[in-house]
Amino acid sequence: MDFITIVLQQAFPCILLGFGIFLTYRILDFADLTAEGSFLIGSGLAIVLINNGVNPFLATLISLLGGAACGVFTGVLNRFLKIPKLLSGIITMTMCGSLILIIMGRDELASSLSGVLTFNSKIVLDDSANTIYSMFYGGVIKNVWVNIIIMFLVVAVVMCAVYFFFGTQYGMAIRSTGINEKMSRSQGINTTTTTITCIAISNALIGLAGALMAQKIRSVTPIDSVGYLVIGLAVILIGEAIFGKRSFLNCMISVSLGSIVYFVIVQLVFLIGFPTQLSKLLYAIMIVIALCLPAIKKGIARIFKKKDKVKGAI
Amino acid sequence: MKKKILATLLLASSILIGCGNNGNVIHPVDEFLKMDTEFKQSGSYTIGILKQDTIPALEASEQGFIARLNELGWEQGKNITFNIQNAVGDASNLSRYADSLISSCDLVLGIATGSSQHLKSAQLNAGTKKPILFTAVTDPTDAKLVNSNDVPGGYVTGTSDAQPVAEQIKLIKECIPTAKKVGVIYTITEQNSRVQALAAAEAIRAAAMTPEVASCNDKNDISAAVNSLVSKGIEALYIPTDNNIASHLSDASTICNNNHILVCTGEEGMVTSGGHVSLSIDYNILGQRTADIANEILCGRKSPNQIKVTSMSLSELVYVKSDTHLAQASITLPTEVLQKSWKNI
Repeated sequence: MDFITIVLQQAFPCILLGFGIFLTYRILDFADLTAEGSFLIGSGLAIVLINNGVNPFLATLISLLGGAACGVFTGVLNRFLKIPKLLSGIITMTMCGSLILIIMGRDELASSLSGVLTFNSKIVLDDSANTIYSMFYGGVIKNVWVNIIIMFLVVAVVMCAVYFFFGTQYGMAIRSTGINEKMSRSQGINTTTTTITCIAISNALIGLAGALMAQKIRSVTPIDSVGYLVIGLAVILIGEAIFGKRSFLNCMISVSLGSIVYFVIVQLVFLIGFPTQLSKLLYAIMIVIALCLPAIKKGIARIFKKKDKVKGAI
Repeated sequence: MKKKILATLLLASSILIGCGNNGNVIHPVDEFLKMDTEFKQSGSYTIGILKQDTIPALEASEQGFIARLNELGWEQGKNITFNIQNAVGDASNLSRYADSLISSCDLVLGIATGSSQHLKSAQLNAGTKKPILFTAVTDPTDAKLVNSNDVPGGYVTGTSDAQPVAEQIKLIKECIPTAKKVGVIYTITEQNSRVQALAAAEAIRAAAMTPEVASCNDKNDISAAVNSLVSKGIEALYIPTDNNIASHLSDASTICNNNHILVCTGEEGMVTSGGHVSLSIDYNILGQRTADIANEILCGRKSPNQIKVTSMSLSELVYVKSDTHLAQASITLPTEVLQKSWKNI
C-alpha cells in the first residue's frame, strides 16, 4: 500500500509536468527549456503566498498564472525578438533562477548585517500553515490518500479542460501550427498568437505541477526544480513507447500512464536495494529499453512474417 | 481503556523480549502512556538514513552513528537493519526517498538540514508519529525542524553542528593580529551556511574588524565572489560549513594563496581540501551523540519530544591547521598561537 501511495504522490504532479512539456515538444514542435524555470516559479509562488496567509487554492491558481507568464515571455522572445527557440527557453529558465529569489523576498537580517541586498534562500511552511492537502486532513481518510485524491482531482479537471480546449477551433489552429506553420498561416491563422498561447498553456501546467509538488514537500529552494525537465521528457517517451501515440486523446493517456510507469520503475529500483548513488545509470538504461520497445516490436513482427512467407512458399 | 491495554501489552512484550540490548531498565506504565510516538517495541528495528550528498563531514557523522549503535549492542543483521539512501544532490530523489523511508522504517535519521526537512514533511504527509532524528543541522529552530532546542515539541529531535563561529573569528584575530577586514563567503541556497555567515559577520564586528560578506549562487561563481572580496582588501577569509564551497574549496583557496590571505574554515575536512586553519567540531562524535539519542528511543526510555537538541561543547573542539597549505600562501602564524595543541593535517 505504501508503495502505491509513494508512487502516486510523485506521479500525479509529473503528469501535468509531462503533459506540459508534451504540448510544446510534440504538438507545437518547439523544444522549450522553460520548463524548469516555470516549475520553480510555480512552487515558489505557492509556498510564499501560503506562508503569507493567502488561501491555498488561490495560491495554486496564481502559480498556474505565474507559469503561464514565463511561457508568454519565452514566446515573445522567440516570436517578436526572433531569438532561436532553444535559446529563448534557456534565457527564461536562467532568469527564473533569480526571479524566484525576488519572489522569496528580502532577507532582512542578512541584508542589514552584510550591507548588501540579500534574498531568502529557502522558505519552509510553518507547521500550522494549510496547503491544499492539509486543509482536508484529520478526517476519516488517511493523510496520504487525501494528498492523492486532491492531486487526482486537480489533474483530472485540468486535463479535461485542456482536452476540450484543444478540440475547439482555436485549439485545432494551435495543433495545425505545430504540424505545418506556413500552411496554417496561408489558411489565415495568426501563428504568432497560437504559438505563444500554446507555450503559455504548457508552462501554466508545469507551474501548477510545481505548486502541487512544493505543497507536498512544504518548502522551496532555488535548486528544487533541477532534474524535472529530464523526468518530464522521460515520462513522455516511456508513455508513447508503451501506450502509443495514435491520437491526441491517446497521447494524453500515454503521458498519464507513462508518469505512473516511470515512478513505479524508479520505486522498484529503490526496493530491490540498488545502490542509490548509481540510480541515474539505471534510469538511463530504463529509458533506453522503453525507447527501443517499438523497434523490438517491429523486429519480432518481421521474424514472424518471414516464417509465414516460408510456410506459404511450401 | 484501549490505551491501557495497549500499554500493558507493550510492557509485557518488552519484558519478554528485553530491550534488544544489555538488560535495560523496565519502564513503568506511566512512561509508556506519556509516549505518544508510534514507536512500537519489538525485537528488531529498521533504521533509515537519508543523506543529501557525499561530503566528508557528513560521512563521518554517519559512521559515528552506526559505530556507536554497534557499541550499544545494536548489531546490523541481528537486531537492527540499516536502510541507507543517498539522494546525490537531486531534489526529486530526496522527497521520494523521504516518503519511502518514513513508511518502511521504525526510526529515521536525516543527515544535514535539507534531508531532515524532507523527512519532516514526509512525516506530516503520512500523518504518522514515527520518530525522526537529525544530525549536522546548524540551526534546527530556524529550519523549522523543532519548536525550540530545549523543547522540540514534535516527533523530531537530534544533534546540531552549531559552529563555534565567535571562537573561530577569535582564532583569525589571533593568527593575524593586525587584520582589519575579514571576508565571509557563503552559498545563498544553503540555509545552514547563511546562519553561520551572519553570525560570523556579527562576531567580526564585535572583534572590532570590518566584515565583507559575499554570496554565490552555485559552484560557478565561487571564484568571482572570492575575487570581489580580494579586491576589497580582505586579510583573512572565513568560510562556513557550506556544502557547495566545501566541494569546490580549491577554487577559493588558490586565489587566497596567491594573495597571501588566511583561509579559516568551519570544519576540519575543509582544511584537508585547501583551508589553512580551523577550530573544528568532530562530526564522528556528533554522530555518536545522535546514536545515544537513538538508543534512548529504541529502548523506549524517552520519546523524541522529551529529548533536547544537543550540540558539542567548547571543550571538545580541536584546533586544526595545514602546514602545507599555509606554506603555499606563505603565511607564518605568530609563536603564541603555535603553542596551542594543534592537529596538523
